Amino acid sequence: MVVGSMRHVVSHTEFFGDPCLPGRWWVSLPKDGNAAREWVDRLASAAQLKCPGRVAVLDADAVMVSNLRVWENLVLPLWYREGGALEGFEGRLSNLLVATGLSEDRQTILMGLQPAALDRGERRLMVLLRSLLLEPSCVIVEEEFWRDMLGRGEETAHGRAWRALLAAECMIVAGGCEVPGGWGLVAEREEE
Amino acid sequence: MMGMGILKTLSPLFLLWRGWPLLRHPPVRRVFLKQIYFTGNEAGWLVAMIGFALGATVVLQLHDEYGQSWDTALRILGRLVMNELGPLLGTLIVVARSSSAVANELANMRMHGEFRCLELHGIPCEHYLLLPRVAALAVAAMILSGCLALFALAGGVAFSSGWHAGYQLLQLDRMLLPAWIAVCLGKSLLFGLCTGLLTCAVGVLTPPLPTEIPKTASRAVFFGILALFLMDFLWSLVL
Repeated sequence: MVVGSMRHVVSHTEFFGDPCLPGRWWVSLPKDGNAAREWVDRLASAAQLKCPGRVAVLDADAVMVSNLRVWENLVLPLWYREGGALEGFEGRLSNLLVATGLSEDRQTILMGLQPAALDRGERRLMVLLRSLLLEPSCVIVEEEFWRDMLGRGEETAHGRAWRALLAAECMIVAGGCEVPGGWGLVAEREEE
Repeated sequence: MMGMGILKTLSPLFLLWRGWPLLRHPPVRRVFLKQIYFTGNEAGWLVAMIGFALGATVVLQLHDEYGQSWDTALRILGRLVMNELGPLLGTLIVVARSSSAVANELANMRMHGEFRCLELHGIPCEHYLLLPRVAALAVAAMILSGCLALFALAGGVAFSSGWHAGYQLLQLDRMLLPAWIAVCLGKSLLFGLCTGLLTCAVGVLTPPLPTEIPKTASRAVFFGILALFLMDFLWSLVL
């Protein structure tokens, strides 16, 4: 299904059956924060069924596993999917870090930190890198994260990583009712 | 309704048995080995000292207070530490040192959305977080209990024979019957497994609220000790 300037409207039921449809999708969520979170969970588990291990989720809080260092957090989803020696992923991670334009010193410092030592912006960058490393077929983004990325300059590390992630076959933004042009809308039938 | 919620939360623990082969998966194996290191290796010195002191005390008491010969005192010590005190104290050390830490860590991770984050990325928490911890606590309890029993024997031998300890070491087969070793390892593995399951249950069941997290550690230790002595009592009744 090609999404151009025309807006496709798909029901939640239909979309949740196969959320990995190619294109850009805007899933309209309930306004209640907890309900919205549950919907993202459902969306992610439905996507995991269709393309296991190739789903990246960019949540607004940019959560990372607290008892692992940052670099371990970045490779964990990929490592869990592919197995093998942990050292085997170092090359891929370092290529990715170079592509973001971070200086070598900054890379070394960031990778060795515990997630608790990162500020919100740094955590979001790390979550972007974790997603990129996965080479995902489907990217699910919470609206707050998406809006933050729109506001970042193209030459920043965030901007570079975000642009690279836009190459994913399927991108889903889970958010409110204001749908940007050119995105397929996933909503209840009465909203169509 | 609440019962259903608890069952739903605990369901990953019941599904753990299906996941044992996953311990070969490198990321899971890494968590398992790290947990063994923190639970088993770091408690090594403590176990060695407790075991040595315990062995010496028991042998001296048997000899001085009850008039047993050194040989008999050592045989009684062997049976006592292998069948009873080794598994009990070894697992007790695991409960006191690690249960609280593991339960606290899990409760914190759940509160901060780390369980959710892992699940969203296709990493099942029961396999990545719970399984290696349960397995590591069981294995660590077995290793620590075995070490505690051996150090207790060493303490007993050292205090009963002094410089002639070499002679007692040649008689080791009288203090270390294969059946006793099997009981020691089997019992401590079972105790460790139950401790691991209970610890993870406490961690997972803690409500994700900042006020509840500090209670997790004491809850894990309380239930761990209670379950340990109940299991030991049941073991004594049944076997």
